[in-house]
Amino acid sequence: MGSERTSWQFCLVVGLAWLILLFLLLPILVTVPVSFTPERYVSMPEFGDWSLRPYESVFSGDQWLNSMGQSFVIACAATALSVVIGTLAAVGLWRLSSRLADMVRWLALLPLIVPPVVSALAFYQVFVQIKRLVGLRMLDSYIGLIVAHGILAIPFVVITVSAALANMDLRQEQAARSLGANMRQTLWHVILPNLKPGILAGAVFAFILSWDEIVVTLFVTSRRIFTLPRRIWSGIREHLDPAIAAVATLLIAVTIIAVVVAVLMRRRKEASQEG
Amino acid sequence: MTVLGSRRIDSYWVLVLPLLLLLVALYVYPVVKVLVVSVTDPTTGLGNYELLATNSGIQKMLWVTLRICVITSAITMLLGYIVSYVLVHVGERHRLWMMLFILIPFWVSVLIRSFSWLILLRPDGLVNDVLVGSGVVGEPLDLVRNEIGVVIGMVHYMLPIAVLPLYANMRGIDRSLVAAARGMGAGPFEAFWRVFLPLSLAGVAGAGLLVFIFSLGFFVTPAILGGGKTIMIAEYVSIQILTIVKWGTGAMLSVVLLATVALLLMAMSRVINVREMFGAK
Amino acid sequence: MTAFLKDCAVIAADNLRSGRIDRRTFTKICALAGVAPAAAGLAGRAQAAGEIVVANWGGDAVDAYANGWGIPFTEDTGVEVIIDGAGPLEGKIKAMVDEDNVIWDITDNDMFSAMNLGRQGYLEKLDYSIIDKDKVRPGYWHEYGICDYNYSFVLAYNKDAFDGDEPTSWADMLDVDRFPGKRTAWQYGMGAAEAFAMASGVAPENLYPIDIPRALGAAQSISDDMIYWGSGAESQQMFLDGEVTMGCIWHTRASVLERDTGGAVTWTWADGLFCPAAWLIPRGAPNVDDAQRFIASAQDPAGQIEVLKALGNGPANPEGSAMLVDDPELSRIDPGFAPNLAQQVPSDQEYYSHEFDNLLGAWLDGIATG
Repeated sequence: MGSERTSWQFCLVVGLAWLILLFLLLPILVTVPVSFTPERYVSMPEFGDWSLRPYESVFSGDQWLNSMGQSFVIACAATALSVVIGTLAAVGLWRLSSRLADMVRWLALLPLIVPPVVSALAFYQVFVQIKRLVGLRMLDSYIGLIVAHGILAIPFVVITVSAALANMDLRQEQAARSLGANMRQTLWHVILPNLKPGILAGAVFAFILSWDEIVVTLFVTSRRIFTLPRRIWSGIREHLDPAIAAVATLLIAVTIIAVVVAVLMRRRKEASQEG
Repeated sequence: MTVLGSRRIDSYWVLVLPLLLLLVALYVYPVVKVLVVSVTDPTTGLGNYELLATNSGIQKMLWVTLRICVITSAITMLLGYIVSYVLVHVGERHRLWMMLFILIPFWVSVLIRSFSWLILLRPDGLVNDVLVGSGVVGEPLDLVRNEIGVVIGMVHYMLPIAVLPLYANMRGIDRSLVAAARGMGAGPFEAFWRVFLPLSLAGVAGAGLLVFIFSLGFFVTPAILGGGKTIMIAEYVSIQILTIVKWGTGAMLSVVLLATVALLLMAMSRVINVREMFGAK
Repeated sequence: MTAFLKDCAVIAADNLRSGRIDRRTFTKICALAGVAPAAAGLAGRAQAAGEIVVANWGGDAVDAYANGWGIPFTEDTGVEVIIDGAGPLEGKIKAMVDEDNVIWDITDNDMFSAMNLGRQGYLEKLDYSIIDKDKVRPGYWHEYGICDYNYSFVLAYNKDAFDGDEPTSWADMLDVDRFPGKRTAWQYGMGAAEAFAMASGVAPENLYPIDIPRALGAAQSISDDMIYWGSGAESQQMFLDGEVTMGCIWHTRASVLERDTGGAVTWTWADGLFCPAAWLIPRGAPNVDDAQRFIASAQDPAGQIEVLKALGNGPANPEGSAMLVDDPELSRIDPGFAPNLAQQVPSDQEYYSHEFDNLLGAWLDGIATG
């Protein structure tokens, strides 16, 4: 492994990878300054002309914070829903080879393929029906949006977990079973630990999908639920509010802080273990 | 197969059942109801499907969609592969930094991301300033409000989506196989090409499919970066359903999309074992 | 006897609320009892009696409608007015009415939408015994909709980019030499088609039905310099960022641009396209009676002028425009102000009610590259 890591070819590839990551970061170079613009519309501020106006509008009144809170709750719940259901299904499908299983694999992809507005209409119609049949209000409610976003995220979870499963050693599972472990034990102690990166990847997608989702949300909510994307899109007729750049910058800052804290804590744990 | 064995397989259906129930009741059933409208609105019959053959606007839109999505997916997979490969092979701290860079753009809403690219790619934007200033080009390039801008914006959005499943898959590749190849005298590139790459193909196929299908559903980025001149299927269907209320046409195009992806999966299954892509063994 | 019947209706309303009966049965019971569903206390949408929901396009319009129209109405009648900025796209209205799940009492759309949706049976008829036909310009009322404000597509341009030379007509859009820089127009064709038709020489009187190939021909002749806006924000941003120097945009955006750029960007009313927006009442709305009263109340010029000040929307009531005679600032931005209106071309809503989807499809196809 050592010779692989230090070969010049590898260094070249690492360099390329960092160039690509820089490309990923480019819009951030724009978003952060834009969040300090003094104008009412999205624009790059001149040097020395930076203002906290967008941040003021985010924190004054509770509109932006409420929307962020709602989006966060819904995204977390939708992620939990899709991760649980998607992971279990991916593991199940991993060991099934029948025609029926193929159909289910296909079905699991459906929410990804169907155009968003068709999904939106479908959810709308079925939610109205549910209200009629069992009296449960899913339109303009947390549960409705959580279910809708969860369903939309399932394909991502199934795909990433399946990708991780594809290279997992089947013998581990077989060994556990032959030693007498039942399904639940095998799942929990053998299979799932190996799937952590796949599950994590799926969870990240699910969260971001729900966080950013607008088309279905517009159809399925009206007054009670006003997620962050709805607030961003509202008023797009008139102007692009720099507050959204401020929101993005704040979230990025929070992420960076969280990661730094995690790294520091890990270092401290390592240090204490050595000591 | 022993009795124990067959019961073992059957019990895996229990894991799949929640997904099946949820999806069929709350998604498949209402979506099918909407798609059926493709043969009932405005009149019963295949009139909407005839549009595929007669309406040049729809044909052009489909072609533009296909072209942009294929190009975007190819570029995304190439760049994503490089990043994933490096992710898998570097140390933990290095990897953490890389992950940070990959995940940070996620927080920026797709709308502000698209507008940020607008600011960057404009004739007077940062990118053109660098290109012209360093003498690479004489005049600012038209990098936005056209297909080029759309591809750049879409690749940017989809890169993390390609990297994460690819990374999850590559992690499982037994690197001792590569070391063994090196030990037998293969150079680093040969070891990669003949050992690592084939093992990663299942992951590439899975991530590539995900990226391609996802790109078909794009419409914010193309709408903003395309200058209004690159309309793709997701936006087109949205217009049919929301603005001009031609639900039959919108449903028909959705069916076409589904059929295309189905055909794609079938074609792929000749080349790659699709079940394996999903991990079934 | 009437008390008893009214009680029957109230019980029915209760049953509807808890799902024991469906809406059709409820309406039948109310009809038998001779009681209007709204008066029975609830029309089944978790909306209190004495409340109406007005759907518009969000942003600044939410507060503007509330201040200009909502609060005065509530003060007069005690009926609460809630403004929902969700954007009442025609498809959403259809979905709601189809599912008998209408949550909006009034929506803010184009007049041609009122005609089109009304023809298809998606709207309630307006009650012209309480709404006044004479408080709008002649012809700007319809069985299923009435003008709530006016807006125009105007020729906006960046004076500073042209060394003092100013475009005066749509034909100048095609003159890339004299007026360098890119142009913009609405991606969906409305406004753009008329502008380019006139640019290619069609006289305003002969504008409708629009000669779409001719208009597209003109637009495509400068296709390298055309970028199309999809939202008001975009059209504005393009001017602010210097991406375009001329364009066919909403007058409301143009007036904001004039303010934000200190006059560098401005517009002319010449050959502008004068369009009516309209109030619509979706069929099966929870509170149709109060909705009608709201529409009547919104015809008051004072409220319309408030909305003009906040958003730039032109008063539908010609009296309101007349009152601006002494206010140079407001009269400048009102498309309905007589001297402004005289320079413009009225948009043919009857044409759009039949042809909008064709125009949209043809325009999208025509301007798409590849």
